[in-house]
Amino acid sequence: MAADLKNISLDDLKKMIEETEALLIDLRHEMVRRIEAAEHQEIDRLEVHLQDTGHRLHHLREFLTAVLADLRGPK
Amino acid sequence: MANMLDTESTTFSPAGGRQALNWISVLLLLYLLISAVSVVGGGFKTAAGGEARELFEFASNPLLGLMVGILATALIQSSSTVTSIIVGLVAGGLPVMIAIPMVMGANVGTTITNTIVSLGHARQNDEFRRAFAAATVHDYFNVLAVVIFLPLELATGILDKIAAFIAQGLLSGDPMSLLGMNFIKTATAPVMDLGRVIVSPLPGPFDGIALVALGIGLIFFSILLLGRLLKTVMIGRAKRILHGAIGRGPVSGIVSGAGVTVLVQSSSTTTSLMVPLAGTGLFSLREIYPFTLGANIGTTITALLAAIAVSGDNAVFALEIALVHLLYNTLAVAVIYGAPFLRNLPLKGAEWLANVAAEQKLLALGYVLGVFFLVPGAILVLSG
Repeated sequence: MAADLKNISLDDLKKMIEETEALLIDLRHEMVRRIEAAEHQEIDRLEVHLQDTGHRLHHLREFLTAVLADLRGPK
Repeated sequence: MANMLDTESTTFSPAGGRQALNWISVLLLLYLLISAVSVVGGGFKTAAGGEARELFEFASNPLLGLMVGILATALIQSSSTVTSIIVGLVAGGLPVMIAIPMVMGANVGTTITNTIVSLGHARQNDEFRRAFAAATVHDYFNVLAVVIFLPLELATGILDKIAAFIAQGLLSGDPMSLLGMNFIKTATAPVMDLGRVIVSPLPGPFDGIALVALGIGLIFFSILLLGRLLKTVMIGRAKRILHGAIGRGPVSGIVSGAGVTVLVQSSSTTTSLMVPLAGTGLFSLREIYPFTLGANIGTTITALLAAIAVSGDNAVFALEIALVHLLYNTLAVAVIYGAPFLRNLPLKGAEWLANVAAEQKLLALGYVLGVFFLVPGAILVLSG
């Protein structure tokens, strides 16, 4: 790779860097867009989360079940 | 014509009627809440006579006041209820300086709810780690706020002084009513009168004690039902606020957290909602953190509403303690979140604790029992 790079002209190198930087920006934007879209989707399920938060005894039961499973160790 | 009929059928639809009924219920419950605070105040004044300070002498040690606030809120799982009761007690003669550590303790105690919610994610280690961190970042922040502001308050009385200045400014020419709102006293009088009739067969001071108990019951009942109702009524608006905050930075997160909490009248609800969102891994701890801080600010609206109804000689003090609650939470966010070296402490603490708890889940249970019940309980018992 290093040898290949030595054969590239300075102008081409500059152009490649610019293109890579632009691509990186596009990739970052796309990543943020996808994360935010997923976050919006999750907020659309707020009713479900709201209902879940009310079941505190259920949460404690779930927790104790997980603790007991951990204590028994992997099967 | 057809359009008109359509419009009319929409206007008078069963859903529209239910919505209207929900709103009427919200208003009635708010009325009951502010009336109940006056009932607590009236009862406490009757029971204590002029000796409110002596009755709460044990809590004049600020550490004990703090522990009372933590324990009471952890048991009731509602800081709004505890702070409203405190406003009522201040209206009945409890000194503001004794009440301030209790309010700070209520802030810490209320974080138990989202921590319990996070325990429900224990089956999946990574999910539990994220959920537990999202819950305990609130604990760390609130404890750090106490560590900074309680000694500062004891040394300078700064929160109390600012709150007193604002409260006196807000009280209009008539020193007996907030902003001249005598109509609130008139409006809430029937509940107070009914309470007095109910406890009248009892001899003093038991009539006053019974009135306090009745008022506390009414506050608990009204906030519980109000919370349930507002969750239904306000879910759409809460969603819109949260959608609007995505990708807009921490200040927007704080404002949104406060907004959602004002809508649902419960910081526990807002912070508990953040737990599953963090658990999915879609929302990072850094994104969740500002929402939980906003919840601290938003929850102060309940005590402020409660203070509006208070009339009489102590009205200014009731408003003062409600304002202390608001100032404390707002300044804590400004100071801790504003200073980068302080801002990251709750994040680091929560991440560390979550990593430990994910490996040793029983430690998570020990943490909940220790921080919210055993330590405050032991301090109270040992000092008593």
